[in-house]
Amino acid sequence: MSDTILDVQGLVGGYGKMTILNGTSFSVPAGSITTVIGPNGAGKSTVFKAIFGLLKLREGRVVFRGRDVTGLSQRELLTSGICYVPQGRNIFPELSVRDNIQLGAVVAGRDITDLPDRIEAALDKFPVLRKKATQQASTLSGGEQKQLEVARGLLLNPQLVLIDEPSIGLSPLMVQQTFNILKDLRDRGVSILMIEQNARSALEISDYGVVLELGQTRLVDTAQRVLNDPRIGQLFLGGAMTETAA
Amino acid sequence: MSNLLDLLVAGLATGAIYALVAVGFTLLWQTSQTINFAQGEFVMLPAFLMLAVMHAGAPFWLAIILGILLSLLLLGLGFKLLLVDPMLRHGVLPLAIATMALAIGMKEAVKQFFSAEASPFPSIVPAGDVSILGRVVSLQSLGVLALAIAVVIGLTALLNRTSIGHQMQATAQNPTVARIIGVPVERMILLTFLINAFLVALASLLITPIYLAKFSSGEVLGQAAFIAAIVGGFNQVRGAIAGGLLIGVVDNLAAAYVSTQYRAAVPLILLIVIILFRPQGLLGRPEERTV
Repeated sequence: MSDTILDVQGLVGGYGKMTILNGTSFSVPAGSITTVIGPNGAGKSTVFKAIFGLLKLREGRVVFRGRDVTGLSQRELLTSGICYVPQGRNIFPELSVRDNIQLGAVVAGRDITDLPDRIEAALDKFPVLRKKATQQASTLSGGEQKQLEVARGLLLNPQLVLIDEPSIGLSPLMVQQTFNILKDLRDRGVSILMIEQNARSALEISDYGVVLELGQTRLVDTAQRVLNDPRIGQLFLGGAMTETAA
Repeated sequence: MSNLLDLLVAGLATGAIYALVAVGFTLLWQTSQTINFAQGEFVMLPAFLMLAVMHAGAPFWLAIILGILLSLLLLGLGFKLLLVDPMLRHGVLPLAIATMALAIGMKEAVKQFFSAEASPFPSIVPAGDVSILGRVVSLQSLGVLALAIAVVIGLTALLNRTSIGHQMQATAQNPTVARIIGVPVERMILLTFLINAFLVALASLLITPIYLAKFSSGEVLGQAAFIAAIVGGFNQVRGAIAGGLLIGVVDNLAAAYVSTQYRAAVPLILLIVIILFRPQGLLGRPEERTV
């Protein structure tokens, strides 16, 4: 087992009086794709918000590369090497594709001297985006928009990418393409923490799986073993894992 | 009988001023869901601030600088901190109503503490006429048009060519995502309010010599800017510019060729037609709803 890049320890929190996270704990091995699965309302997206400082925690810690980053601002988290690609459409529709990508480096300000090169490199990596670089981002298809979000997130060379439901609303072909991009990133040493409703295909490209239910961690194992665990199907079909667990 | 060229120039000149006010209006809406029904009064007030400074003995140029600074402070920072921030928590509608109350308050305050009479206001463009293509055109109209166009070009360049401008647009188009990628959203919103304050102060400086400084002059201006923003497309800066110019020209042509009596009705008719047949405005984009 490799080093841990992210350690989520006993998160408790939610919205208003509603508690969503109820002691969520797991860790992400460096250089892996780790996929979080679980039924609706399990708190998957909420965990991401908590990691990225968008949710006030009542308890628990988020440790990134050995440093406590709980409650840091988004700017601080971005600078320290985490990027977050939320669910849905996260582009600026009326800006050009190139300007959208460029905004990924906003926190670095003038610290980045090779910004034009980085944008070129991003456009090289995503040929669809290069073809439409000067068009308004609203003209992109759903899959292209996802690629744009990833390209933007990669501009600061993050070490950890949090990506929430990248496959939602995409055609099977686009899903495969998006997953290939993630695999490629992993092979270049970037750690990925992903949420997927499309559990089977996601686990197939993942190294580790985390199963959440009711804001608690039910299972953490290699993706292969999570995939073959008979209780998983049960969980997604509406049963609770605790009822069938021995 | 006035000629068409003169009417067009005069129309574009007032239209350019409407455009300044309408651009500020749409910027506030985009970045902080503020429908500022006091926008007309925001144009009325700076002229009085400048007059007050001049009454204290300051020269006109100093009055302009101080007037703009006071506008940034009162209509930019003060408006955001004292009215918009506390009211926006309760929703868009309470905030809109609060701005209506502010409009009445500003109007009455100027009437009480300054004057109910219209006061003359000096022009930064010298009076006189120039000859273009053998036609006589007012220098003031041309000057106003040139200045307003310069500001609009400058603002468009800021929004489209600079990182700050992209960050402001990002904040307007998708504040949640802007925050996630590290755009200092709060600072960008404040900047929008300051830009609006600057635009209304400038509009005030340009239009008051034409219409005189009067406590009630905001009513017409606010309505014109509001219509311009809707006609052009509420979510587009370039829409507000086009809408402002269009309203200015239509307004002037209607006054000359239809009737001065019906002058005020023409922009309203235009508004109704646009809302019926193209509700997103001439250049606007239909608002998307995420499921």
